[in-house]
Amino acid sequence: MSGALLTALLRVRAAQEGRAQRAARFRHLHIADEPLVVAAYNLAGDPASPLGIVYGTDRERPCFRVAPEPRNRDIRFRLLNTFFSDFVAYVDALPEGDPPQVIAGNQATLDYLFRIGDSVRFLPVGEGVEPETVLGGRHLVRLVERRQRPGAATAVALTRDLAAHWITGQSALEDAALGPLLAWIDPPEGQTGRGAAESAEHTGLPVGPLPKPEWDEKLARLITKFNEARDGATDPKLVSRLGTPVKRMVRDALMESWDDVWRGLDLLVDLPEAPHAQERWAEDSEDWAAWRKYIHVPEARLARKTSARAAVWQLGDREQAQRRVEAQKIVDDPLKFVAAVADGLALSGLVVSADPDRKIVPPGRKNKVSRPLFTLSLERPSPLPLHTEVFWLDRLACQGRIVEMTMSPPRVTIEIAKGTRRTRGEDPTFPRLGREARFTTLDPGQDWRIKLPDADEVWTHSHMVPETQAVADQDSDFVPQLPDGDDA
Amino acid sequence: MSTDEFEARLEAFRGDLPAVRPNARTVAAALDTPDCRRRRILEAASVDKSELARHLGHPIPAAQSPFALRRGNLFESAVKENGDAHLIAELRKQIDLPIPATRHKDLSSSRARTKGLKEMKLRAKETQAALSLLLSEDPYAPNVLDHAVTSLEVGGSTVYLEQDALAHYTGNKLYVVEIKSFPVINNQVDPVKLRPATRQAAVYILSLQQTLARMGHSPEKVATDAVLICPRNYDLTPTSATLDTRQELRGLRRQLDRAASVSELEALLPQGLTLSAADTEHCAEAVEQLPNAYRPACLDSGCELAYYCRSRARDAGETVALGTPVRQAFGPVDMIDDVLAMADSGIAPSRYEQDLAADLIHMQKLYRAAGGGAA
Repeated sequence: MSGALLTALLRVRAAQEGRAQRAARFRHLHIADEPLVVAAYNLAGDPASPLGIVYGTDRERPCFRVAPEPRNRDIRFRLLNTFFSDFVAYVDALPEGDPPQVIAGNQATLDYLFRIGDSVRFLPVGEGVEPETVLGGRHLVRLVERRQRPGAATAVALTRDLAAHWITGQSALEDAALGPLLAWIDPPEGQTGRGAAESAEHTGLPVGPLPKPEWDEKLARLITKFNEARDGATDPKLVSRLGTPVKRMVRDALMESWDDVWRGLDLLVDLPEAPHAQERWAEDSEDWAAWRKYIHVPEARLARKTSARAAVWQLGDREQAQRRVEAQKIVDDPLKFVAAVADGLALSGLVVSADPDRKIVPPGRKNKVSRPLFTLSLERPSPLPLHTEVFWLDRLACQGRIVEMTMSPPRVTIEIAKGTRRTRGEDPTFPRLGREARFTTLDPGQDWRIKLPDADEVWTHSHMVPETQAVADQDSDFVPQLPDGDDA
Repeated sequence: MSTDEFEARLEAFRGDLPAVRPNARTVAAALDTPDCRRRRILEAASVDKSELARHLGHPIPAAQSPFALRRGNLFESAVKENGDAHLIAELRKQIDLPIPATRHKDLSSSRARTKGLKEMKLRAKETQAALSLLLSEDPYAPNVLDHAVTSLEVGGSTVYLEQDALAHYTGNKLYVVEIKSFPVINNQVDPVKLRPATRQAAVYILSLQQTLARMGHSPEKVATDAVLICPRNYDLTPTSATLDTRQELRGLRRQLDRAASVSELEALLPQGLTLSAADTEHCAEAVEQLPNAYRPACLDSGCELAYYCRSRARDAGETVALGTPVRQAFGPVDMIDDVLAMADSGIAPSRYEQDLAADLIHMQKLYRAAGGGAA
C-alpha cells in the first residue's frame, strides 16, 4: 500500500492535534445520484438472521423492517421478502446506464449483506420465497462482490473509504468502527478526537451488523416474552402487535446507525470528486449492464465457486485495476502524490534541461528513433535507483527510464522511450524547461490479457509450446524490447 | 526459591482481588501476546483480570452474546442427538471411524454429585480410566468419549479442561474433536474465527498428550490434527474438516515452558508488590511496575486489560498506540512528541536518524504545499 510513511506521520500529527488529517483533497469514489443506504442488525451467532434492516435513498424517509424472531422461517422471510422487493424496485427504477450503489457503514455490514443475499439467491421460489427475493439476492451479491475489484463503487463500506481520505489519531484496527472514526474526522464542538472516539466506543452501539452483547441480553428477554406471547403463531398482524417492544428497541439502535452512515456519506460527498472516479464508475456501469442482460436470460447459471479459469482471469483483472487506480489517484490528487513521494514511488523536480527532439540510433539497430531527454533538479536525492521505469504524470503514456543521476546537487536525467509519436494528428507533449515535472514508478498498466489454454482441449492433447528462439543472437539480448511503431 | 514459596508470593501479590482459574480460551489467548510480561504474571497469579480492569476504570465489554451462546449449545446438541449420529458420520468422513465399532461413553457428569474443582478432578479420573481401557486395546472399550476432562500444567498449577468430545481411537490414534457453531459458507470459514478455534484445539491436544504421558503412555498416540465440526451454510447441518495444529502446538509448548519457569517470573515480579481492590491508585501503580507490550492488536486478543493499557499508552504519547506500522516507521523514535519535533525542526536525535529527519521535513513541506492539514 502506498503512503505508509506519510500516513504514519499524519497519524502522529492527528493524535497530537486531536483531529484527523486530510490524506486526500479529492474524493476518489463516485457517489451515485441516488445511493441506497443500508444499516442492519443480525442475531448474534446466526450467519444470516436479520433482526432489523433500515434502508432507503432519502435520509428523511428510512424504510425500517424488523423480524422480532428471525430464527422463525415465516417471520424471517416476511422481512427478507419486503426488503428484497424494495431493493429490486430501487434497482429497476434507476435510469438506464446507472448501476445501483449500496452504502453501508462498515465492512462487516457489507459482508453481512453478501451473506443475506447468498442465503437466498439459490433458493427455489415458492413456500414463502418470492421471486424478487431470489433476484434481489443475486443482484446484491453481485454488487458486493464487485467491490473486491479495486476502484469499483457499486458497494461502499464507509469506514474503508473515510479512512482512505482522512488519517485519524488511532490505529487502523480501530478505524474499522464507524462511530470512533467519525469522531476523529468531525468531533463534536469542544471535544478532541480521542475523547469523542472513546466515548463513541463505550456509549454507542456498533453500526452493525452485530449489536453489543450487553444490549443483546436485554433484547433476549424481550424476544423470549414475544415468543411466549405468540405461542408458535406467525400471523402477520399478531406478530406485528406482539413484536412492538422488540421493534422499538431495534429501531432506536438502528436509527443511530442510520444517522452515522448518512453523516459519513455527507463527509465524503463534500469533497470534490476526482476526475478518474467518473471513469471508473463508467466501468461499473458497463459491468452492470452486462450482468442485467445475463441474469434475465431464463437459463442463466450462477456458480457458488469460481472456476479455475475465471479465477485466473479475475485475479489478473483485479491486479491490473489496482495498478491503474493507484496511478490515477496520484495523477488526480496532489496529496496522494506526496504520499507516493514519501514512499519512494514518485519524484518531482524542476526541469533544468530539456531536449524533446533528441534522436539516437540504439545499439543493434539501424534507424534513428526519438529519445527525448530531460534533467530534473530535485530537493532531495532521488529515492528511485538508476534504470527505474517512470511515467510522466501529465501524460502517463509518456514513459521512460532514469539514465543518469547525481546526489549533489540531487538530479536525475530521464530518457523517454514510449509515447513519443504523434497521436490523432497531435504532437506529443513533454515536460517543459523551467517547469515542475512529476514522474512516478506506478505503472498505470496496459490492457491486461492472459492466454489460457483452450477449455475444450484435453491437456494430454495440447499442442507443444513452440520453443522460443532462445539466445540465438547474443547482441540482441541487450536491446530492450521496443514496441512496434513507436519509433520515429 | 521453591515453587511453593513462589506460589505464596504470587498469592500475596494478588492481594484481595478475586482469583480465576485459567481455561482453554485464556491459555490459548496468551499466544497472541507472547512478549507481554504483565499478562504472564497476572495470569500466573490467577488474577481475575476483568475484575482488575473494572477497578482500574477500564472495564471490557461482555465477550459473548446470549444468542451466540444459545446457538452454540443448540448446534452441539444437534451434532450429538440420536446417539451421536452426526458426530459419528463426520468422524467416519474425517478419520475412517468404522460405524459398527463405535462405542460411546458420556463423561459429562460425574457419578458422584460434586461441584466445581472437585467435580472436575473426579471427572478427570473417570476420563483417565476410560482412556486406559481404550489404550489397553480392550475390544469392548468405549471409543467415543463425550465431554472428557483432561488437565494441563500451566505455570505450576493444574488446569482442568472439558473437551467438546474427545478422542476416538482409530489407526492407533486419539483425536480431539471440537464442535464450533460458526458457519462454513460456500466451503469457506471466516479466518478471524478459525484462528482461535485452532489454538483452542491445540490446547486440548496438548492437555491430552500430557494426560497420556502421566498415565505412562506415549503422547505420540494423540493425533496433532483435530477434527473440527461446524454448521454448513445457513442452517445447522454439520460439516467437518481436520485442522493441523502443529504450529500452534509448538508455540504453546514454548509459551508454557516459559510460564513454568519460576525463576524467570520471579525476577519479573518486584518484591512486596501487592494489588488491592480498595485502592485504585495503588492498584494502578502496582500494575505499572509490571512491564507490558501494548499494541492495538491487544484489543482483539481477549486480554481484559487491553483498554487500560491503551489508555496509558495514549496518555504517555507512545507511537505504538497508533499501530505497529507507525511505531516502525520512525526507527528508535517512539514518542509522538519526539517524532513531531523531528518532523518540524529537521533535527534528528542521533546521526542515525538524520536522513529520516530530512525526509520528514521535506515530506511535511510538500504535504502543506499540496493543501494538507487538519480535517
